[in-house]
Amino acid sequence: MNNNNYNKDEQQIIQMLTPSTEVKPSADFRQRVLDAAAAQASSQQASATPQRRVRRISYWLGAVCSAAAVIAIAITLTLNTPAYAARKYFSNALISLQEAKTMVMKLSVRTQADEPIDYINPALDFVPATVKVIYDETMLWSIEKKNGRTVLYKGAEATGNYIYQWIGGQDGKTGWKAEYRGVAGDLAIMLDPRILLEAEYRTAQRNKGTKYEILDLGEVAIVRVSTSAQGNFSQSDYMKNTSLAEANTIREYTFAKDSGLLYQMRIMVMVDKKPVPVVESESIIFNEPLSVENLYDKEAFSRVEFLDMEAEPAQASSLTNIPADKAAKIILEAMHNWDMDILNTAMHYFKGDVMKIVEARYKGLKLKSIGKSFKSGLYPGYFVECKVILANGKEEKLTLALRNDNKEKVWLIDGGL
Amino acid sequence: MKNYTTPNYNKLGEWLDAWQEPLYRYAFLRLGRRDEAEDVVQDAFLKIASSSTQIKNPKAYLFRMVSNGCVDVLRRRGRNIPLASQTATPAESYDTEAEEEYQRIAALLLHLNEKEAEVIHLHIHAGLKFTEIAELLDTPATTLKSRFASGITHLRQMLIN
Repeated sequence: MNNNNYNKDEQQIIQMLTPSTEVKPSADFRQRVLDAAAAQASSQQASATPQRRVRRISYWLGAVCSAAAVIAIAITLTLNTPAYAARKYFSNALISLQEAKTMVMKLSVRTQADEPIDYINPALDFVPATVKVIYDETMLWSIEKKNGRTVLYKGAEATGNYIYQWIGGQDGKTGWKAEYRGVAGDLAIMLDPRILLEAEYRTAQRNKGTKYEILDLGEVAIVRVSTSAQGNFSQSDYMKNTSLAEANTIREYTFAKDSGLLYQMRIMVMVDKKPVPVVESESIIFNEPLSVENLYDKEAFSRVEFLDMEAEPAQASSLTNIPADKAAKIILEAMHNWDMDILNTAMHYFKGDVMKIVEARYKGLKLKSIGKSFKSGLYPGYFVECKVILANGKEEKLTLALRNDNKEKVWLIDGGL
Repeated sequence: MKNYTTPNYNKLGEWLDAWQEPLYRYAFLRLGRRDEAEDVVQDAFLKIASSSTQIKNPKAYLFRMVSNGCVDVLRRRGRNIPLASQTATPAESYDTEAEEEYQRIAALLLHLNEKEAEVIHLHIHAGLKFTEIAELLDTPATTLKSRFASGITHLRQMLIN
């Protein structure tokens, strides 16, 4: 464009409309297009030759087909590179989901019912879980593990904007509330397929270290994504496979080809190079009538005493400016006489009934040995392995999780008891 | 490359070298997202490559395809979103500078009508001459020049005020 044809004022405006930084396609864009074109050409050549028709199978049959059978009857879509084709499916599903008002997804998750919602363990049995979402201006939602933990966000209230968690089961009185800051990570994956699909779409766009397979089954198509674990495992594998993000996974999404909607999903964790299913959707239903009252059991909710997780821990000079393993030693020794000066601070996350249960189990313990603190996976704190002898004489091995990412930089026990 | 079924495949590398950057720049500054812009541009190249007819003016063809692709994306994106917030809000930061530039320029172009904005995109961002845009949009070059001038004037007046 020749700017000399314009006066000074016009040139200024044109300058403002001109990007001041380079706007270029990705370095590998040219090659990607050439590869896609080559795949397209070979596909066109192949489609010119007669082929046996693939029997169209029903959604339900598709849902129960074994992976082996699926592979046997599948045709790999080679119109473009698999990553490019995967992006198309994710993109179409995202467009279809724009119209979604509600979603109810029934899942089976290999987990422990009362552990955090995003905890998985390939060695455990499946626990039924239900995800309910209202896609309002603000997304309202709940995730409930049967006879276990429920997480709820029911919108802003007069007293604040809280996310609630409580454990059902025996007493159902234990609960926590914290300021709601939106959802992220594995939680988002379960709550909103749009977030999941968006993340997958972008991963497919970058296509680094991720493998894609597309299986066309006629009425449905399966996009299979293989990704590597995130996090730092250089010090320890302790957190490996404890969440989807911290595991090598294969994620299978089944899309209805006519509507583009996500129809089914299955997530497998690689254990000893073998895929173990850890999350399986039983059903995904969109746009069923759903109100805030349907998101949770109001009666159960009213029985729970919610501890405020936002309150900052009290200062405790003995638990600051020291390594995590030293803090763990101080805390465990404080459990011998149940020294509340230390434990009130260190056990900040263990209040009410939970504190009583912990006290009943660990009061009077003696520390036998303690290891060096280590990091693992995506956990922001440290882990410390130790052996203790309980008041009843039994020996117990613990892996304490400690974190000090609070304002006072005080070490707090975050888990492991 | 070998065994391609249409003559256009053999020219694809040459066309990519010549036009991938202006096409991408044009698409990105309309859509604000790298992934969508690359998709639209890739689709255009795949379409021209698979066309069984010889394309007389591949440059115009590609820009037309990309322009149509951008309109489709914006239409889908805007189905449930108010016009003022149709500018993309990318979720990742690997393209931050370009995304910020997009946001800045898109905010300016929101003050113009679609036709003025389109000429500005094609002339400033894609670097096309008015005669090339005329062929692309099937509109006289004089009309396009006047739309461009009118858009610039509107923005100047808006900024003065």
